[in-house]
Amino acid sequence: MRRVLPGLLAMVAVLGCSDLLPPPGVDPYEYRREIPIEGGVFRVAFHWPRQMLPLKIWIADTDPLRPMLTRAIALWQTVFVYGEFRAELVTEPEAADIVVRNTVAPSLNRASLRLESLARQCTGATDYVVDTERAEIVLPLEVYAWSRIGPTGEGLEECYEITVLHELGHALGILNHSLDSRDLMFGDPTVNGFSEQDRATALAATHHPSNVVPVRR
Amino acid sequence: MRILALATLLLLPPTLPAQTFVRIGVGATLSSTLVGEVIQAPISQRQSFAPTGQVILGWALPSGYRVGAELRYAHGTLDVDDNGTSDDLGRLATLLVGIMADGPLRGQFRWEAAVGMLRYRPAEATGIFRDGTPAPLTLGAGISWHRPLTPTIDLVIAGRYDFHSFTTDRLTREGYSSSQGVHRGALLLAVERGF
Repeated sequence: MRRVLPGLLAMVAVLGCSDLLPPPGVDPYEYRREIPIEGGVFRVAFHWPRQMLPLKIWIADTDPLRPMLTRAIALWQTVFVYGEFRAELVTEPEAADIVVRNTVAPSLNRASLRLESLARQCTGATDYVVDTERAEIVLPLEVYAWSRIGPTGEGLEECYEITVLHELGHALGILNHSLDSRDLMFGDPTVNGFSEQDRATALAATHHPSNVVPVRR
Repeated sequence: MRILALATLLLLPPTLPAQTFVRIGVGATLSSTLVGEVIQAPISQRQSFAPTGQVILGWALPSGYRVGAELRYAHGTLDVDDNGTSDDLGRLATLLVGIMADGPLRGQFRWEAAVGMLRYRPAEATGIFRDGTPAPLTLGAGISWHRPLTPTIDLVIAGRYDFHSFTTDRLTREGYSSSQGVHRGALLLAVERGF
């Protein structure tokens, strides 16, 4: 035992002191959004507080976007290692943090921040109501996606998939668009998945201090 | 069912061959960080404080040492510490299957050593366990204190330390390199029956 013990202790010391090394990260694109206010701009940085997870998302049972939304939630959850985003569908829109509808977005409120995506077959929009004076975001966030080619048409389903995935990225806190067409969060998105920059940006948005808090009024 | 069988074994009259013993214990396990880094601020995850059950079936050797097969199950949650905010990502249990040895130390104390495979069992295949659960080799050591209650039954209080090297397929795929040394401590209260 006395001969074995030093070897065991050395092994414990070597293996026991090792740490996982995170991968080298790529640079995120800008995910904050500047809103003009009296006398300057308010740069909004937002992510959901951990205490609110899993987020409650409502979509009508018969909404054609429902399968795309379920897929988008599952895909965004795979981006994170530490459970920074988790969401579940709820049956009551009044209880939701995010509401998703397959309809044309209504005209914009003065207080709202709209983030749009413009593909050929469909359009998406995510509306934030930002109270810059109180530094609050009023819930629920409203997400819309609607067809530009009628109720059916070639490429519409994939357009909805991409658009809902893109809009959910805005709802997670990516409040801007990438300038690179290879990114999901490009203004006119064509890729049906995440680039390394998308992942890095989602991580940055999720971990950067938020300067607004979500409230329900 | 297995627990019932082992409990029955404890209560059986001493008909098994001599030098056999069974230990059944309960206690708690504490684990160090499984993965941690700084993303703007420190973030890490670990298995929470975990109620633990232990079963050992062993044999005493003429030399005074004993060897046995050990199962130790710790039932906790996967906890995230995100810059001081705690979050619970669901159940995370660990099951240690291994062999142990012990021997006399001084008085009623005995040293213990163990080696085995530690299987992580999360409730869902998400997060760091999305692409599979690891079963790393685990080494452990400890001290136990034995107090005879009857001629064949001892009360045992055991303190156990073990460590293993942790990573998952998901972490490797994401580009995490090396592995995390994970240290665990357990305190167990057990009864041991010799046959």
